[in-house]
Amino acid sequence: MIAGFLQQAINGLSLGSTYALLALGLAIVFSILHLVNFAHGEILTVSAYAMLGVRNLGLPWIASIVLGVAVAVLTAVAMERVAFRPVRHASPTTMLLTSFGVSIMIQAVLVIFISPRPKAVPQPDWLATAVTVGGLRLQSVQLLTLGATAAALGVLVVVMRRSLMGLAMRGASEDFDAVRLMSIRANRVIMSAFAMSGFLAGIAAVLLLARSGSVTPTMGLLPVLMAFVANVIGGIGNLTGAVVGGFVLGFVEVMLRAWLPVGVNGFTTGFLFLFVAVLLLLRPEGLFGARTATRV
Amino acid sequence: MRRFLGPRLRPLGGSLLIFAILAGCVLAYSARGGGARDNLVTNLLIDVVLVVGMQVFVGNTGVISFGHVSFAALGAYATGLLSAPTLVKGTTIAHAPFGLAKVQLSPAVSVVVAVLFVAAFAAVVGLAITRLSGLGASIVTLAMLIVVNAVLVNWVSLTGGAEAFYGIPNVMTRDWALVAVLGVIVVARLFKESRLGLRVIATREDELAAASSGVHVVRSRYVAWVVSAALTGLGGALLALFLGALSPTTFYFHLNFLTLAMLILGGMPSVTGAVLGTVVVIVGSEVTRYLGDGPVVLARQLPQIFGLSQLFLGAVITFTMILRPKGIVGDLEVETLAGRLAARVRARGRRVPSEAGGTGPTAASPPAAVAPVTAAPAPAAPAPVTGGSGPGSVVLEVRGVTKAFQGLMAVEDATVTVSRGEIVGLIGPNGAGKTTLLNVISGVLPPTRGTIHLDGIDLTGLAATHVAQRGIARTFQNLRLFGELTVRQNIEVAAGVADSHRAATRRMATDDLLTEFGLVEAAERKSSTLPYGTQRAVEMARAVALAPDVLLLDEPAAGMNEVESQRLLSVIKDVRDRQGCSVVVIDHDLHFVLNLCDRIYVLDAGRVVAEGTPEEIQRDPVVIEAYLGSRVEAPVGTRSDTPASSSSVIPATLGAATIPN
Repeated sequence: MIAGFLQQAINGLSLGSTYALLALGLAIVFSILHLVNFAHGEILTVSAYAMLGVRNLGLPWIASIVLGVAVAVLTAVAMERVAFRPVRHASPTTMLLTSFGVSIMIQAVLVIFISPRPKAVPQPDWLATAVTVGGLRLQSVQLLTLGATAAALGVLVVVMRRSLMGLAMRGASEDFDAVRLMSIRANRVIMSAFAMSGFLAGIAAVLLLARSGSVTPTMGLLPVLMAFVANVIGGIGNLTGAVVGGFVLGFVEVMLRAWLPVGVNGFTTGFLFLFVAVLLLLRPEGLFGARTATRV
Repeated sequence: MRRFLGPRLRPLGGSLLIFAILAGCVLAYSARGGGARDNLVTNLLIDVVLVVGMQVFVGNTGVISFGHVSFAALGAYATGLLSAPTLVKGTTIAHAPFGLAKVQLSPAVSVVVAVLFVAAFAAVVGLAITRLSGLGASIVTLAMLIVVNAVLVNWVSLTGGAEAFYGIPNVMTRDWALVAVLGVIVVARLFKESRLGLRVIATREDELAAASSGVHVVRSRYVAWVVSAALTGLGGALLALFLGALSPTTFYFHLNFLTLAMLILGGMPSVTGAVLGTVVVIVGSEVTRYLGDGPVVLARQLPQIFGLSQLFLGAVITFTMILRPKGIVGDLEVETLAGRLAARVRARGRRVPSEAGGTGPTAASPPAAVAPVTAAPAPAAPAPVTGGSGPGSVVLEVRGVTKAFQGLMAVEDATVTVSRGEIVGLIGPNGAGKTTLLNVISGVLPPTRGTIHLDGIDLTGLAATHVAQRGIARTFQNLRLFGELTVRQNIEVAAGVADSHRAATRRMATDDLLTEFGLVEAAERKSSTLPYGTQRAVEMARAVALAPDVLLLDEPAAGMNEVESQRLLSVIKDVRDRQGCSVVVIDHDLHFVLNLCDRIYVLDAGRVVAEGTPEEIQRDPVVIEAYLGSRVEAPVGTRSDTPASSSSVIPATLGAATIPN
């Protein structure tokens, strides 16, 4: 029983990692721009297709990772420059719908120029192996996921805390005008935020590919939806909340899948979202959201 | 007579106009071309029903709902289950619960029952969902979508599960769809322009200001939710009778995002926008689908492009948002658009270069900030008829109020009493707790300790809405208007609340208020487009429209020059006389406060440190110590004899202040 729980807990952490990485990327951008970037999933998708391209050229797995993450960063920055800058001062709804349009366009381009069907991306064989430690079966993919997530979050924490740009970003999420008054360029802060969210989406793409082994034009949709939910239950715009929300979501999802009685296991997603709804009704501002006393 | 009919006729006329345009296009297109065109058109009309149904909630509350498609799903499945022949159901869902396999109703009756069922469902889930605002609400609607879908997929004995549920009579025709479209457009327009609709829009524009104007935020949103669900459910019911077969995937993310895109593309706050957005997306998708199928154009075979219509959809959304962030028509309705068009055509005909749109005010007279009170001395005698207590008796009693934010004591043991008709000032340095005290009195924040009584009735802990309904109105330090509403509508939100909750008190008529605050010229303009001073006047007029017993003003003179604040002073006194209310005012302009107020409380570090008439306050040693700083060394008694003490800037204002009476 305990071993079973531990096993599921590891599965949950592993699934939650992807949600957490994507949720954090969404949160960084949201905290600064109040943009819910629905096209965040397509950053992941484009990055995964780039990895497919690299592999098709016959280059090694590790090269595909490096280039894939680089493409993710570039895609995120380009997205900001082309689509989001013109609507930067519009309402959150307008920005949300813009990102929604961008998301559909990227998917359509992939459908038109590549294929609507899934394409296999060869993964190294060792990813399919597993080790057994004290009765727990740890798949290499899970170990890779946990390790990569920890590393990516670590890098992010260092950047946000130690670098000037990280400081500027954290400041901008509190009060953008104040940051601009410190003669820090708004464009550069926003671009860095997108680059960072792209980096995280790129890592998520690597991990998702390692697990599924194939790409489709719509592969980013569901993960980003979960990341969006993770943000809201963590407290929208709160970076810690986003990460915790992602892990909570992954954890609960795996637990429901594992322990729901046979008769109702079709309801996994249903129960998961019921859990989310109840959580939000009890804590409308999310787990880490400030109980906002609106300033009046 | 015109005033009575006007507001009702306009939305009806507008509904008929947009319907006539849509019906004209649809009939012209489907007159030739047979069944395929009929089907396309019927599908389009059903989408219009769905999107206009969504508009009632999403457009008016501003809450993006990802869950409306599940109302359509429930409406469709209910209709299908009730109207499908028992013969078919005997083979597909023979063991359906509630004996549904043996029921067969006519399509029309099925639709009615289905719509009622959806409304009842929405009424239950709405109890929870409408409590939330913003993105939290959106996520919970998303949860609803996913849970409803899970039920449809998994309740196999009822729905047939993930496979198609078929056998529903396809009796839906273009003409029936047209009738339904007319119905939903009329309902949506009437709702939007109704008193209730105005309140819902107020909650969209500023939730806190709406609550402080006495609007019950959750309740108004709830009504919009149920009405909207019923209309969307109707759309789903029609879709069932059109398709003849249903599967849970019909009503999932794809339709959800598509209908949302149609709505926002056209212009979320506008019913016309909802219709237009639907037409643009459907027509565009059809054209691009045709092109993508590799047609033969000019004897040349074009290549087949799979995904072209999707690319079109993405592109049209992105570029519309970049070029017209509020959607194609924004918040305008068809009759306004038609009026502008007509004006432009007329102007061109006369060759007179004219900028004026249909609704713009005459550009000649710039809107005055707070205009002088030219309104002849109040026509009616002051009518303080509430409560039965005469002037001079205590109306507001704040006793021992403490407000702590975690460790910080923003207000500590404050006791303030206000008599009927009295104007009371709250002064003190920044951070003294003045605004917090106002927030506690108005119900925006609950007190940590202490009580608040109005006319002897305990208001402690009541929410802002109820405090406002009981007769305490307020303005905000940093302006909170319903920006997309006109000046008149801003006032009407509060006036409507006053009419239903303040029956005992006589409120000033909206037109009187417009005159009093110098807003006649600006009455039909969108309040967010007005200059700052005018906006302040609108906010105050809105508060007065609530027919308050106590009017709380948070820094009404901020940013005003000497002349303007002098005018404001007489406006406030005039309002006090005409409305028979008491006023509590916070301001940093000491001159203004000393001239205006009968009595003044001085706060410092959350505590009331002094209280008295303006004369007493100016002499109070504690006040001079705490409020003006200890730099003043002159003997207290000589303060008013030696104005403009050499050592400090602030006493200059203090000394210059004239004492009322």
